[in-house]
Amino acid sequence: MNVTGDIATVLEFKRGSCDDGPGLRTVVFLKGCPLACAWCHNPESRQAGPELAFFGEECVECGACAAACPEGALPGGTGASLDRGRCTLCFKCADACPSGALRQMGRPVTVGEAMEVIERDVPFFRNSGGGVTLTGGEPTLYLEWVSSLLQRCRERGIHTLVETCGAFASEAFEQRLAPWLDAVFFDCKLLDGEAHRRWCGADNARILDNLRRLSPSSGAAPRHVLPRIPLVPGVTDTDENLRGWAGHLAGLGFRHVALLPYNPTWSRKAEALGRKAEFASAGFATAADLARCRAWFAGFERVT
Amino acid sequence: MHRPSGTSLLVRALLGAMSLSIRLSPRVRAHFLGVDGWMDFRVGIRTVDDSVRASIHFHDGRANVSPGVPDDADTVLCFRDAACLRRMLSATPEEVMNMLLRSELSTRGNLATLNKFNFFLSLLLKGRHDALRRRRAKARRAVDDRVRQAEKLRPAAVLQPRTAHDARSASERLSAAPCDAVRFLDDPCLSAWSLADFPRLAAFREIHFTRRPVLCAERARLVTEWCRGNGFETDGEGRPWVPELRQAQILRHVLEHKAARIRPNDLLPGTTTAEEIGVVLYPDTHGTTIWGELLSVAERELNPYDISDETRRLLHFDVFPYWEKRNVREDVRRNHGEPLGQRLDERFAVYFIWKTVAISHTIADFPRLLRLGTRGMADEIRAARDAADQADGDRRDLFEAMGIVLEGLETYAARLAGTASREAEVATDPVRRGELLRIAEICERVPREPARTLQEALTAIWLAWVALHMENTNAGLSLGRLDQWLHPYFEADLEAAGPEGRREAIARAIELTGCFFLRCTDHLPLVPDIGNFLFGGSSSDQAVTLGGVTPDGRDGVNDMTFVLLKVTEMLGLRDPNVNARYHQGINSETYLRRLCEVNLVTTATPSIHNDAAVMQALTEFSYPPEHLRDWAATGCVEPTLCGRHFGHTGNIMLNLVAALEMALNDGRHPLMDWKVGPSTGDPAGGAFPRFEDFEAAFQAQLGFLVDRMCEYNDMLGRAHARIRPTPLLSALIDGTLEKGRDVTRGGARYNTTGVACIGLTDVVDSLTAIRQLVYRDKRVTFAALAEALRTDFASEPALHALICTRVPKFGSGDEEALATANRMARFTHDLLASHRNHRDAPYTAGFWSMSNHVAFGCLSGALPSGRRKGKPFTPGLTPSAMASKHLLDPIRDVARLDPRSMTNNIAFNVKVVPRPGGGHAEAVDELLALAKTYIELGGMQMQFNVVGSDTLREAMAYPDRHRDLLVRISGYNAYFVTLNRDLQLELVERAEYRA
Repeated sequence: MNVTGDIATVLEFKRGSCDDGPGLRTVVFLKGCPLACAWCHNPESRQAGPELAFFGEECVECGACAAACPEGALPGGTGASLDRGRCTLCFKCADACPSGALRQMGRPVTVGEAMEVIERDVPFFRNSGGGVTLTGGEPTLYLEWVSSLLQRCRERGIHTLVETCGAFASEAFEQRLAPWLDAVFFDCKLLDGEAHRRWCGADNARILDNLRRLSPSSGAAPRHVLPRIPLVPGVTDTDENLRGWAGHLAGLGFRHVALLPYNPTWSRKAEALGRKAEFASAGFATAADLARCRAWFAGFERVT
Repeated sequence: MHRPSGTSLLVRALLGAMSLSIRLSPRVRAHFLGVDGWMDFRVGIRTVDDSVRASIHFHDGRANVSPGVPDDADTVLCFRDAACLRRMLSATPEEVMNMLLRSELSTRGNLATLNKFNFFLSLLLKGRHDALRRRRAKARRAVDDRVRQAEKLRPAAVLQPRTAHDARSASERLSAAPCDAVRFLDDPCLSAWSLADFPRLAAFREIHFTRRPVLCAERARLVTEWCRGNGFETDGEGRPWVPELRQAQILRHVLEHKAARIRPNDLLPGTTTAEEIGVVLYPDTHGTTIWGELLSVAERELNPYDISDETRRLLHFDVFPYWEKRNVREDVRRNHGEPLGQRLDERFAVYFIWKTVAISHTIADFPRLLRLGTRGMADEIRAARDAADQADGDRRDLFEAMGIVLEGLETYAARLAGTASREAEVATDPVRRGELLRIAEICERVPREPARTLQEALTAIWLAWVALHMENTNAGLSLGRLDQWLHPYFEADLEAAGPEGRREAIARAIELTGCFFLRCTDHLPLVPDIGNFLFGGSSSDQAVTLGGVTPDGRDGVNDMTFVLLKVTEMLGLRDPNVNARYHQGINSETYLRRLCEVNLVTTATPSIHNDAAVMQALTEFSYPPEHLRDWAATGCVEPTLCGRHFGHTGNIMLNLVAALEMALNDGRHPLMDWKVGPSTGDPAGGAFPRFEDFEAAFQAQLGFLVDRMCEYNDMLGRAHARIRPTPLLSALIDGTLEKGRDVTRGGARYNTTGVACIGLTDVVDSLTAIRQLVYRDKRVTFAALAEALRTDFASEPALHALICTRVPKFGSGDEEALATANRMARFTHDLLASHRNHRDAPYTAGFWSMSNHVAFGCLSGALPSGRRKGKPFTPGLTPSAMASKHLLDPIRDVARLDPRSMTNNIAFNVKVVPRPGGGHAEAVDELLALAKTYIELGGMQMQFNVVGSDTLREAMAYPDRHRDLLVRISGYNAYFVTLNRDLQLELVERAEYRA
């Protein structure tokens, strides 16, 4: 993966968000993730490089893409006929597409460019207690880029937050990111190592170790660290997993937790990238399900 | 002469049937015999190409049909083609008016006479019209059912939304420590109180939401009765009337004879009409617009009114015939030969001039009334009269007229005192008896003497308010800075009550001001069905303004500000239209947070103004600071310097997009199919080598429209001075005593004329698209673009997609689009400011739209901005929903528009939905962050709609459950369920942001 310091692949800047930390925030989605969770709701953020997506319902069938493609990878004249084997990801088709049906997902962005976007909303941060949230994918993949962005934010007095899956090198995190971070949202998916390997494609030993290092019990510098548990039906929302997490987090001294209801709308995005939606789910959780999940965390202050 | 067409024969047959039924039916014939004798008028019917021509002449209880259209026809209906004409034959009278809007039909000649003709059509075809209406209602119900099923909409809560929110967040309501100039309230949010503590207010509120309005003829009857007895043009001895004196006597007559009613259990006496909720009729302006609907107005789909047979008869036989030619609109037609400006106005697609209805958008000097009483005012007027030159008859006449109307006002109060005493005598409940005796005492004192208590002050203002509405149309007359003006009296009550009585005095103030707000709902403006389309769901728009700074520049947020905010929150009314001034650096954040909380709870009100920016907007007028600081919103949002300024701020709704369409078509307006503007060149023919050349063509077309509009407006203004000068309003506006002129003749100290310029965003986005695609990138030729517009982009879907996704919009953060917006706003401002009205004052430029962004949008074709044919423009100057996914972009860009180009204010709508599961305080803080930042960045005005599209869709499917769902349109509030479908959909489709 390309993780040099000056450029990162940014999927999107989402501004004015109220869902990713305190106040109004600019959320930077970085592309690339060391995990491969079956239910990943941002499937377009898994690979670190730019990708080509096709959203069929937006296609006006004008043929501009086929005319622009130097490889002949659109033999049928529209995005529906995209031959990913022939595609070299030059994105000329996406440039030509008038409707955005063919779309480049992710583009290289320098720290300076990212700061320009962030600077726009500084007055809103100030008045709402908001700031910048780095998420993805996994932002710690771009350690140096994220590090210098966080430093620049700190210089401007902008509140900073990183959302992480926890699979990072702890020393580098402590040295390069932690000094400029105000808050960390830490994903807690599956406690069981075997289950984690099966569903997320990687071992969770390092993740659990990192969580411990950041926990109140570790005696580390006090910092706002919020464990967040995605409630994936039949996978992470089982009583066994939740009971385990409740005990584990309490043992580490955490008093707060966020439970994230599952959002099934990601499958459309996976299809647009030419991937199969590997994980089919029943849909949105019911109120009863949520209540059952929440009951395990009665001893915590829940953050919505 | 060629053979008459089939349609021609059909029309003549219909007119022949009309003629026959007059002959055969005594009942029908009787309707032609008015108080003034047999109705005598000619109506012509034709098509544009003259393939159909016919006319009918009604006289002496007979009717003759002839094949031609005579030159002296009183009114002529001109159809676009024979098909439109045939459609009219099977349409209800409301639908005929809608054909007028869609340019399938245009008219020449007297509109009142046209409405009279419509009345006779509905008289003959009532059975058929009723059947048509039933069939349509059934079809509509079937569609609604399908929608409900398709969207699986179920009625959610049994509680109504506002009440539901009320209940949900009641326990979470914010409280605050005293702030600003608050002296008495321990918790300015008054969070301990709720509507449940005020059963009287809850009961009145229920009446407001459930009682059907009734068309009330009381004022029209009294006015007509006086004029029949004393003459209109000349008096009993044949001398021409001095208009001011005539109007003064008319008003005194009305106030001496209108019913002196006190609503059962009310604390404020007096009512605008003789009905619980009455629609007021002003036959001297637009009253006759309802003539054609007299038989059907109770059955129309949107906002029906009840009407009694007695009212119907009175209006048809007596009132309307008297005023058919004696109204402002027809006076201009007669005196100026139906000028081009009038003909344009009557096509509805390019501008709408409110002077045909009212001149009311202003604010009277209520503090003067409270301070001096009518007696003190009369002394001043008398002194001015004595000082006036004996030879200056005009001055002396005006002052005499003012004296007469003040007498009338005193008489009305005295009669109400009588009513209160009589009712007290028979009251069984001792508490109510006490209240009535108190009312009687108060009415014996005010408005004649200065007010001393809050109840006296509110009574004096309310009685003057009733009287002002007996003089001037209830359309935008505004209440001004009630918190500033009432505060001394509230303070006096609190001082008198002492610390032990404080709680009770505060409750009393909430109840009294609540009664006042609900009194203001006792009347509605007359809206013909065509108005449901043009001005959907609007009431009178009686603006109240809170907060800001005092005339000497101190913090003006006081105890009364917070009492009125509490009332606003508890009642959730569309009208009074509450506007709040926030002066950064002087007013507290606690106050701004409270404004956001009330907006959240009511979903739509108050609107928030950046005090400093509004004052900056008015820099060019060099108003003295102490007068400038006394500004208040009028009608929707427009600034008036209270009590000194006659700005008729809501005078004109101007469609900027019409000029763009004319520039795209060499001066021809496509929907009207009328080459009315100057030839500026055909874009498809290469007339514009550079982008700037096209922009110049747009400016030339707009210049042409503004010239016509101002000419016509001034004619109407002079007609007002002849037909309906306003001695009472003039007595309550500073400057008239020195100048000795009525406000309709420029008597006020400050004069302007307000314009609302509609479609700025659509024009800017269109110009940006043309510049980028045609000139800069050369992606498309002007000819191809023009063709795409003609086909509503059907021929060029890829071009449409390109415009939507690749051309930066105003409000996206794009600097060039923002610069274009600023340039266009400036151009429009300068164009208007270069015209002077008949009161020798400039026109001001506002960028709000009332509801006309929907109406004008319906009447406009596809635009280069990507907006499709017939779709609404954006409300006010709100960026398009396509501009940005991020709410902060539009907020930042609108804030960067130069206020100095926006002298008649703006309306910036932001639709936000609190995040599900979020708390009340959190939601308030999110609104606060947005409002505060917008103001810091220099934004002028903003209004939140805190309601999601889901709720709006549900309200469309289940209107009965959402009667009180309040929404902000553009500047004014309306109940969502009273809006026409186009407006409802516009609100649903507005960009929605999570907050």
